Amino acid sequence: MTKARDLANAGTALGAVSATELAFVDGVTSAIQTQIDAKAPSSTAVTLTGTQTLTNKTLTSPVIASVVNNTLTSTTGDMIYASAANTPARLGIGSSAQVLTVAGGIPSWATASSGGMTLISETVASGLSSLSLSSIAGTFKQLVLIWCGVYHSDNSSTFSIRFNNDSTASAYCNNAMTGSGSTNFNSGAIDDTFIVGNGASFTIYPFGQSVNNSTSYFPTMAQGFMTIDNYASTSKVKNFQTNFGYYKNAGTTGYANVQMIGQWKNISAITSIDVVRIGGSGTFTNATDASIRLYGVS
Amino acid sequence: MSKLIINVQTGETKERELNKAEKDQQKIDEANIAKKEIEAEAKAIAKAALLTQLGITAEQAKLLLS
Repeated sequence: MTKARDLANAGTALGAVSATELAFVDGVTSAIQTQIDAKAPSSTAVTLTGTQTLTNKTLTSPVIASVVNNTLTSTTGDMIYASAANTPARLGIGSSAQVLTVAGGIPSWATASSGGMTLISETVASGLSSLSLSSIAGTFKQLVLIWCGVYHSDNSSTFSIRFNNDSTASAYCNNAMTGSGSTNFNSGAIDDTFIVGNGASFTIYPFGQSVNNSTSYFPTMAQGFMTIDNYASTSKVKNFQTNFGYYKNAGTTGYANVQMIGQWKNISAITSIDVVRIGGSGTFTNATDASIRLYGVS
Repeated sequence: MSKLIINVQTGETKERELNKAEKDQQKIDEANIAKKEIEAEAKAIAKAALLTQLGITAEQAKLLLS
């Protein structure tokens, strides 16, 4: 720029250009326009409002280490989880009514366990001497039998319960606390060919004895419930718990009630529950608005 | 003597007369509970006799045993 300085010092034709202004180009070694063109924005330059793709850029404040890829949420309802440390992964939306659970340390969708009771069968007995709830599927954990409003056609019949209609000697262990009338309470255990509450002084039967009570007063009719655990097992005896009661019209009359636990000493799966007449020649019937219901518990 | 059989899976019902084996079992059951009734009655009579002999009521006997 020595020549430029000389021109500035000439002070005539270039009077409008000061030495300061000329000094601005001091050090220029190539065409200024070419240099300016090289710095002009191009299609790949970042602008405030443009849409650009950044590659291998680090934002230091705030720090964004790795942004989760939105392709992990390709479907409505998808969720993002860590399949390993610092490893986002997609959990696709599950099916209707499925619930989120954990398997193998990662979340997944699974069918919710129902955990409820399913009505398997409901029967309104009418003049029956025997009832068999047969072909019970082994798909539940427990069975629950509930009955009420059962009365007999006479006062000299007795009805009990068997599983798979098994009448083998001592097939049923019955451990009962029984109550009869207003003052007597007894407990006792007995093995028998059917289910029976056998206290020290009296015996009480699930579907009643001498229950010719067709009135609408339900407590006088046979009623009760029974839970049978693990009924589908083919390797364990079957535990049952039952409460039942009724008003007995013959012999020692009065209300008879039982709370008992017992076992059917058989490892076969229970596929039928049988209400059997074990005494007399009468029949049993459900009163109006009453029934015998069998539930399966999941 | 009708027996109602309900297939709880299909809901199919069938009502039939008891067969010979079931009738035979009923006779056995009948004898079984008749025996129980006799034993229970005998116990009740023996109990009442004992209370009379002791000159106390059933409630008083309960009190003694409580």
